Amino acid sequence: MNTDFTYCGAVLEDLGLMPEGSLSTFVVGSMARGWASPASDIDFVIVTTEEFSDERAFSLDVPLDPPAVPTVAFRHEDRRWELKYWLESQVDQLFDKISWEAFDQDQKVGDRLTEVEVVFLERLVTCLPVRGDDWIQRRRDQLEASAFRSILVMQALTKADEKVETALSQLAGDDPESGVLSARDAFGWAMDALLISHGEYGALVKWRARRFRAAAPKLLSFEEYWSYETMRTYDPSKPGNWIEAVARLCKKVSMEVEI
Amino acid sequence: MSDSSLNVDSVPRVRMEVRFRKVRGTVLVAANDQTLELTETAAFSSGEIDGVRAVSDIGAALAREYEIPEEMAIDDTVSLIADLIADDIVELVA
Repeated sequence: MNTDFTYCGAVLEDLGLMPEGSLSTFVVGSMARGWASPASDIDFVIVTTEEFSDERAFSLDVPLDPPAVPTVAFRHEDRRWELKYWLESQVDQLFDKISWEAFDQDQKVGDRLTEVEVVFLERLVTCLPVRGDDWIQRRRDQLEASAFRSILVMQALTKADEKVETALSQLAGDDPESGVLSARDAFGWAMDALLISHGEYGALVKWRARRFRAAAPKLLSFEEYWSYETMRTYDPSKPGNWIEAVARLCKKVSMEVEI
Repeated sequence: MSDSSLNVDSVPRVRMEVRFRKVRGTVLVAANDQTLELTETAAFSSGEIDGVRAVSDIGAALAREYEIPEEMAIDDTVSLIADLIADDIVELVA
């Protein structure tokens, strides 16, 4: 797999999409992780000190000042490229939100982070540089020292607990089919908590097996994980058994995962 | 089943409505609107409760983990399980 994306800087300059004075440019997502398919986009983040403005850009809303992340998408050599332009000041505000002080004041602070914000932070961990390696390393160190991981783990464990309670309530209420679906949700949240606690971020279900292999948690083997994920032990004549097994697994995860 | 029948062959299980959190090394357990902090050994033993293994098995695991006499560990485990039953954290399934 090609992990050298430095050539992209010149392409972006030629297209007038690399603002002067950019602090860092990096590739994120499946391409950076080596998980891309031939149809995958190549996603970039460009960090600037001045607001980016271009007629080709559309905006993603964020609860920051300014409240938008300009985004440009185009095709180049048969692949879709997408660029998000973050201001350094927006990144500063984002890190303020995930400080230990913020977490200690309100452990549900994760509920107030938007998907755009969380994805930006998650992808910082596994991004590949185009330019500005120093900036990336500094922000990675800052992220590691922040409460980000604990915030997301706490959020995932809470969701898992809620879904377990719903599943058991539905089972007790003679609605086992709904209970099975809730238990599947609970399992997903519990696995997210487990994987995030190992530094494997990302909420998309399609990457969960890859994240599990990368994290290799001691709590659960890949084979055990995959058995639950594919519902291999589910018996349609005894749905309660599978629901209860998932509930016990979720409990085990909540006892072992460090916040 | 009440804890009056608790013995080394009993099989405990954590009640489903109980919530655990491991916060910076400390295991907290929430049940019935109260939150308890578990000691290190209580947290270890609680983690061994799976609704399948008997109290004696959990005690044996505790003895191995902390290199203490098995008889003492099993006695400690019986006491712990009794406390956890009293706090509605654990129930006996056998």
